This record gives sequence, structure tokens and C-alpha cells, in this order.
Amino acid sequence: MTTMTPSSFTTDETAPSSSVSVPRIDQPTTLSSDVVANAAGALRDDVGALSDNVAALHGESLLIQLEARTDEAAKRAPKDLLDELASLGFSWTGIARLVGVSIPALRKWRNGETPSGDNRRNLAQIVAFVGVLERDHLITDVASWLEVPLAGTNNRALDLFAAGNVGDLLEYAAQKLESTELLDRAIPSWRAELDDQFEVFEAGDGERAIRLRANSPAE
Amino acid sequence: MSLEPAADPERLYLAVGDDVNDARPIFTGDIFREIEIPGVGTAPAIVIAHPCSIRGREGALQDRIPVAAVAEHQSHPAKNWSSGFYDRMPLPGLPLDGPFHVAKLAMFGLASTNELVGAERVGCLSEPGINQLQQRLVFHLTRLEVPASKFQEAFDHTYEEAELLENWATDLADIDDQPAASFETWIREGSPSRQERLLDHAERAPVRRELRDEVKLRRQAD
Repeated sequence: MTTMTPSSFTTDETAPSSSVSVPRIDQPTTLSSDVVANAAGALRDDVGALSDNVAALHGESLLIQLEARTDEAAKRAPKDLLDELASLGFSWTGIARLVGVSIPALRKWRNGETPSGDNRRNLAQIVAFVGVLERDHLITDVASWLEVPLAGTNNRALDLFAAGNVGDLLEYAAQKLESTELLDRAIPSWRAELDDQFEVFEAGDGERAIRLRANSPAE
Repeated sequence: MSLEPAADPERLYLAVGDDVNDARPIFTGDIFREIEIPGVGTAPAIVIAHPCSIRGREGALQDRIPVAAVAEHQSHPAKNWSSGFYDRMPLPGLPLDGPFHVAKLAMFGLASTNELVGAERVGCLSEPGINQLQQRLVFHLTRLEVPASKFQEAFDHTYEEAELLENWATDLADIDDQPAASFETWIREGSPSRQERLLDHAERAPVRRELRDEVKLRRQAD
């Protein structure tokens, strides 16, 4: 049996250039299983690296797009930006959390006071983020989308935005990440929350209450 | 697990001093400058009643509401509050005499609601602040340690409803002298009612939009 060494592979120089070249076999031969496995593994590594690079490029481009939209939104009056968010169904608590200010501060802006440059840009970024999700990712109710708990936890997209995970959220909105992958990136310890010993339930009077889980381990 | 450490004022309060919205209905965690607390005396006080138990039929406040005395206290590092001072809730930065105060959770009583309505409100706890208050209160009374996040999970719909009522009362202040009653009627409309829909996170933004629309309609009709 003839064993083909890796040097027996050559690339087709006349083929159109691309980042990954498919090896061409020059002569009829029988490949050993080791060589095939090695070649396939190397090819897979190349494709994986390429995929990672493309994902990073896409993530960067989403942030660049958001920055451009933020520049546009920042030209508008803060009061208009607040009114738009409120009309979309955002709560003042939610807006305050997203911007990183207090609710009284928002009330002052609504009454005409001028926010600092950083706060004004943060406010514009929220409006831009909403626009990107509505127009490019077809999310029709962004206020609700931001408030729904993720993957059975108490963590919401709103909390992740407030914590600065805007790029990850854009990828999630673009359906390039699952909710669990999003949480892995943003809150690596999030699975510990699922081991909580307490649960919320509806009590006999119809109101919510808290109790120990029935199968909670004794300490 | 341990109790929450003392929080910074920026995280602890929704508003303090002049920033308190007069149109905000009385709610858990509201702090008043001076209240007569039966069995305790006259002192600054904080509402410790659970959000579900403050109001009765048609949204009316109960005649009496549980409050705890607030008093000046020595300041301690934030982490020390996780493993001690269990009968106290740290309240830094209040606009009262002295830089640091606590709610004395063993000194409580049923205050007159009429007195609370007319008293000066010097602060309102934020959602994390209310969660921390409830965590310390439960631990003080029962020695049961419940994560503060569980209070948020169980009762955030009541925080949502309180904010809606505040918006309603603020935006209709000049045309509605009974905003709590009119709000209660509105929030109970529908099947499921808007109040029930607030239990679902995905329904909260739609309910807020409905409130804005309703406020506009009432202002146009006035």
C-alpha cells in the first residue's frame, strides 16, 4: 500500500484565490487514516479561525453602525428622546437605569434642564439602539424585548445594556447568539442563580409569596 | 449567602429631599421627617408595610400603616451590615440631622395614614432599597435569610404598578383630585385586567403605552 505524505498535497495555483484552499491530490494513491484526519483537522482549524474572525468583524461593524445612529440621535433634544422612549413603553425606572442617572434627573431633563454631554450621548445611544433593533432586526416591541427575563433567570437584556454589554446584545438581537451564550459572556456565574433554594409562588390570597423549594437540600 | 451590604445613596433611594415627587403615592420605603408612632413616640419614620398591604378596596390607603422609627446612627463600613446590626436598616445620606441614619426595625407601630399624607416626605427608597429593607426586616423578625433578588422577582409587579400610579397622578394632577381611585378603576379594567397583565414582563410596556394613551384622552376630554 502506498502511503501519501502531507507533501503529496499541493494547492491548485490556478484556482481563484480564497482564504481556504482545498487540497488537490496529484496522483492516485491511498491515504492513511492519520493523514486524512490531520488534513481535515487543519482545515477545520482554519475554518474555525476564519469564522471567529468574521464574527468579530460582524460584532465590530454592529457597534460602528450603532455609533453612527447615535451620532444622528444626539442631534435631537433630550426631551424629545425621552418622549420617544416613553411613548414606546419604556418606564422611567428603566430609562434611568439604561442611562445611569436617577429618575429625578430625568424629570429635570423633561422640564428643560440640560444633561451633561455624557448623559446626553447615553440617552441618544438608547434611542439609536431601539432604531437598530426595529429596522434591522425586526424587533417590534423593543421595550418589552429588553425587559423579558433571559434563560429562566432574573437577568434582563435591560440589565445587560446598563452593565455595558451593548455589543453582545446587538449580536443577540441579530440572532448570532443564544440567550445562554449571551449570559455566558455577560455574567459567567449566571448558572449559580438557577440553584436558588427559594421560589416565588402564588399564595392562597392570589398574591405572590416566597418559600423554600420542596426539594431544597438541607444545609 | 449573607444580607446585602449598606448601599450608596445613589442606589438606595429613588429620590431624597426636594427631588421627592409630591404626586407619588405613599409606598413601602417612604421616609417622613416626623411621625407619631404609637408605642414609640414622635420620630422620623419609614414605611415598612409590604406593597400588597398598603392599600385596600378601590385603591384607598389603609387607615393605619406600619412604620419603623428612623434615628441617627454611627456609620460603619458597608460590608459590616451584611453580618450584623440585624435590627437596623442603614440609611445613609438622608436630609435629616446627621450624616447617617438607620431604620430601627424593632421600634415600629401603626401610624395614622392621615398624618403620613400630610407629613413631609424626605426620601423614597428605590427598588433595590425596598428589597434590602424587606430582606433585613424578614431576617430580624424570623431569622430567615432570603436573597434580596427574590423580593424583586416576587414583587416587581407592585413596583411597576406604583410607578404607573405615580405617572397617572403626576400627569393628571390638575384635572383629577382622586387619582388613586381613578387609577384603581383603570388598572382593574379588562380580562385579564391590566393589573394581572403586569405579572407578565412582556405585558408591562404595552400597559404603559395604554396608560399614556388614556392620560392623553382624559386631558383632551377635560
